[in-house]
Amino acid sequence: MDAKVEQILLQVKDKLGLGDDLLLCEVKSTGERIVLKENDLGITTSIGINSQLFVTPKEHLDALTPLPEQTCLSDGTFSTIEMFSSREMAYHMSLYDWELFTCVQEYELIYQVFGRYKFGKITCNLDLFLRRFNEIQFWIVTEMVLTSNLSKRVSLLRKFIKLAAHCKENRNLNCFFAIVMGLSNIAVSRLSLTWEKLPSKFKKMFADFETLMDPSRNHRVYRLSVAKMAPPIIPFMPLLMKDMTFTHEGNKTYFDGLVNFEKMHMIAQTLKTVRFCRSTPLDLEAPGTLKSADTSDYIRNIKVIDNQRLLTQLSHKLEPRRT
Amino acid sequence: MAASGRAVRSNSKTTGMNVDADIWKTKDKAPTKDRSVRLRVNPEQSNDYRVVVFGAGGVGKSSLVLRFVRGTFRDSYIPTIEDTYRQVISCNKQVCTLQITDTTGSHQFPAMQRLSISKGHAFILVYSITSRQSLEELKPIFEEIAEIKGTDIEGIPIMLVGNKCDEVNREVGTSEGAAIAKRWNCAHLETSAKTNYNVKELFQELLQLEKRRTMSLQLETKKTRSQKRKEKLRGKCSIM
Repeated sequence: MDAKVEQILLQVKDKLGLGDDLLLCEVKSTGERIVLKENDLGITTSIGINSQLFVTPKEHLDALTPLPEQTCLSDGTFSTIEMFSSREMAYHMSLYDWELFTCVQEYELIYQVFGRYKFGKITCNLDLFLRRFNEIQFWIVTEMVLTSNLSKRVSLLRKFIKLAAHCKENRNLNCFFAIVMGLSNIAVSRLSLTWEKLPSKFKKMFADFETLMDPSRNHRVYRLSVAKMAPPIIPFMPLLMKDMTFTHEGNKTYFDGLVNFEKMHMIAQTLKTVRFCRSTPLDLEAPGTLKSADTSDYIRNIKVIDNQRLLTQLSHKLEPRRT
Repeated sequence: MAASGRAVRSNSKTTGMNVDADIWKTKDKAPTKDRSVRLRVNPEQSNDYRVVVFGAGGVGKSSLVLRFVRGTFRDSYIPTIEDTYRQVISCNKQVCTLQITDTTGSHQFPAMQRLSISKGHAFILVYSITSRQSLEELKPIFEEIAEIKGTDIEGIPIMLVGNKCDEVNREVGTSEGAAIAKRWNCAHLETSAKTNYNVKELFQELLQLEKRRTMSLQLETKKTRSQKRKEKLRGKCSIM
């Protein structure tokens, strides 16, 4: 897990006998190829959701294509989701997210932002937590575009909006944003027949959610509303990461050989936010139903399509563009 | 069976109630529909004009933005101050806020990028003339913009910008950048945030590319009648 790319390649070279000039390449479900740098490490957790790792001789790089299991997912799980209540799902999602969040070591954020290879440390816990955000977002879109029946799609949309509301109640903002962003993904937001049939109460709810997500003035609405919250909070991680990246890239670590203390202070401030968010344990009231184990199981094993182009295509198939 | 039963029951209620409920319904529906249209299709209604800046790490996006907004070149800044990236400009003769969204740090989250794209009115794609890689990395971003904006893309101002043109170890030639800009059907400019070369021009040109409204960095108050008429026509067109 903590092996460097060059170490992996060295091991593989002996076993496979593919020659000397080997590359380790991540192949995304879109077919995009990313050659991993030799000094990178802890790569197994940092690759994309449906990505696969390939070892290949340099000259055969162009021949790498995604495996069928990376791209094919033809059936949604509407009938399964239908069985669970949105409150129950939100409960289990929050438990799982909290687990992932509390596993993240504060230093991992620093390794991630400053560059893992500089420290020779891995950021697996953080990777998994960050990946979860993308996963949930794609899950929402995937389920929406794989539900071909219009009225079922409307009820699924309702359910997802309710799910978002429950996540917000649980102060699981990471998950809340993932769901709302999933629903405002172009593949879902363009389904106007579905949105038209949505009761106005839900439309209003979603419009309010979108306001919370508004990125203008550097996510001012979100920052203000979070400032009023008490822990435990699962924060909107992409924004935290963005803040840290900004601080890091915009400021030098050293000035004339002296440590830039202002920058360190700013980084520490973000870490303090993380610490504050989890300063009290998560204590949610269990919804107490029989399907608890099933829900938890489902929530932890989500399957998604992570290829935006494919999602948009599926969406066009459901509701062709009106002329 | 159940459905008809319910229908009968509601009929048995006083008619007055029913009428009331109907009024509520129609009243309720109309504004929400309106709102959803405004939120989804036409965010331009608001008084903000959003410019989104994309570019790989280290190409100087932030320096470029700060040079424009503050007129300074600094080595350090604080990210979470909310009004860092705002500038008052003129739009259709009215005062409007130019909002600049810097996308640094969101490459890991496609959803964040898509959010900025769908909320953006204009785009600046920055690469460094010292790094061919940074130009390559803009390609998927341009494709993403094209996909999200769909057929609207023709009316959207996009600038391809080669920053750091004060540096000597150049990897990307001016003509190369221009060629790609031509392929993408967008404008091209080389800038230097450090020496303040072409920075204001960049934003000026970007606003001029906006054909749906008249935008300018200067706050104008008076205009000739012909200009007014032109704008009126344009204003009408923008509803489409």
